[in-house]
Amino acid sequence: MTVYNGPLRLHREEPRITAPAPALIDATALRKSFRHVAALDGFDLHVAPGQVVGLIGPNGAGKTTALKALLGLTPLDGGTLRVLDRDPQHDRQAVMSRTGYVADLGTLPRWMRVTQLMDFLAGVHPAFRRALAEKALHGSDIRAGARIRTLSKGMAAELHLALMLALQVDLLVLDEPTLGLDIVNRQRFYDRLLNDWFTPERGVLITSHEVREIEHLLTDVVFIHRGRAVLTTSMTALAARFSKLDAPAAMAEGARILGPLIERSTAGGISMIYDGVPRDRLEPLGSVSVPSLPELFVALLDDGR
Amino acid sequence: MKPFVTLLKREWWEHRAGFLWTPLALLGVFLLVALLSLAGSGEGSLTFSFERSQGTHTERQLHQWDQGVLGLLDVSGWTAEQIAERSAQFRHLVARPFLLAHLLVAIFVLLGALHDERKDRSVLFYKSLPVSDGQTVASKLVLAVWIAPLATIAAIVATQLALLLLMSLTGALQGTAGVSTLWLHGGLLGGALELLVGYLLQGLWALPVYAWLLLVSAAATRAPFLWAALIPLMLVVVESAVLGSAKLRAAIVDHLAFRALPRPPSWLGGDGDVAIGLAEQLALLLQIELWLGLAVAAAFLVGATWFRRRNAEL
Repeated sequence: MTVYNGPLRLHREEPRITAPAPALIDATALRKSFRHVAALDGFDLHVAPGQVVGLIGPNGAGKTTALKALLGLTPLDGGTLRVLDRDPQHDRQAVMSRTGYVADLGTLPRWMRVTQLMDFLAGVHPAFRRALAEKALHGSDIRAGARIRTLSKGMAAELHLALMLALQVDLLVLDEPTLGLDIVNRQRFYDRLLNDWFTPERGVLITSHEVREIEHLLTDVVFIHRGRAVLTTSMTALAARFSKLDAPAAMAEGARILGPLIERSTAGGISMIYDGVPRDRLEPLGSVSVPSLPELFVALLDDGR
Repeated sequence: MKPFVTLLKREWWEHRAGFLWTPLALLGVFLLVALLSLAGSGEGSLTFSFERSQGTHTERQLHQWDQGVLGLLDVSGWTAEQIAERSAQFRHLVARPFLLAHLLVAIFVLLGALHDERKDRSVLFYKSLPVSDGQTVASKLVLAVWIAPLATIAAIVATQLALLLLMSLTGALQGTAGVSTLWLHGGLLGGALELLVGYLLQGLWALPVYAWLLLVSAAATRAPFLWAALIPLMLVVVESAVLGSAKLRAAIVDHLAFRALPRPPSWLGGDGDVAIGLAEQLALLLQIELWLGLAVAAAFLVGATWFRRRNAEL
């Protein structure tokens, strides 16, 4: 079957253009200080349906504070914040009925049994689908009658994530969701997140110190440093804007003239990262690639100093 | 409604050990003591030997036990009023340890309610769910103050029935007259009703105490027990030093006391010891102190909710 997907397709998408889906998260200029130390210093963040946004930053950059503030768990000193078109500071209950949030994987009540936990979620969370959680745990070592405190750290984490992925909500906010998980379970979690849970109507906001691990999941990335979003970009725009050049040492002069953000010497050559320099100007000097997120983060922060 | 019921269930699951096993353990102790003392009374005398401890607390308690429980074995020649009074004493004697135990368990549960979840950080999990802080605070209060006591009341009534049954059998074997009349004239049903009404009202009467515990539990970053005790103590000392009065102390003692729980006439024969029955219980609702206490409790609960909303972890 041939489909004419030129103007017709545009036409089909028109309703979306005239009435865009409301942003899942819309935060502008958030401020929060703890005893005169600014944890959030004019932080902006926008998450729309269909986005998987990675919040990347060093320890103490304000990642956790930002996520807590977004969900109404930390009172803000300033800024405007809407999550799912509500104010989470005053309407946390309504926000959380459409949001899944993992603050930390070690927080399931230790005295509870797995079945009690499911009964509890089924009772208080309108979006919890018990069958999905049970299916996800099927084949794991987690017994329904086990108390959380008897589970290993990894099993408790697996359980927690299975419960969150059983929430039919619009937004997932994940703070270091794989801390303490082994490699197999990490991979399984990310597969489930993208293949089973994620849809174009839903959004994800995720932090991880294992940036390389989430890099390929992201549609968008926000670099946070000292409580500010220092870079907000889609991954495609990022790939078009930033380049990494690996060149022999002999090319160093020519490479420097183009104004790299950062220069590092590597074995037998140099490695530079550029902002907005066209690829065809770099390619004669050496091999050009897209910098990884950690590389880019270091490059941008060094630039900022 | 369903979410709130689930919250109540959650509370019950978490504190079943305290709220259910404590009264059941007491029931077991009562039956054991009853069996032992009945076995010892075979020679026609009650064979607790407490010559060395005349007048001590233990001695008085043993005396109460003899009088109040074993004394019911032979009620021949008693008038109906005497039977009713002795039966009321018996019921009270049985109920008292249960009521005290429940109060202790409730104090510790409420003090831990909003503190432990911050200590083990499970509050972060709970707060990731669509449950408001007000609902959470309310569920903790309602379970400890009005729902968990039902287990205690059931255990009290079960213990009373079990003891009477035990003594009926013993009486029948020994050929003594009487215990069986207690089943008819002992006011068992009325006693159970008084207990039930008493606990519902006692919850209201002691609400400022319970709400205070929740407030401290939500606010204290450490040692909630110390804060809960020290702050009122300090205020009492300050009041007596500055104003020379003791109104606060009187109010605290008053609201800690079992004002709404049934009590037989002339219990212990102490001064100001008034019998409390259904009429006195319901009259409590007319007391201004009850309503003042409720207003204070409401303020404490608002405070507890405010802290629960504000403080995520320790």
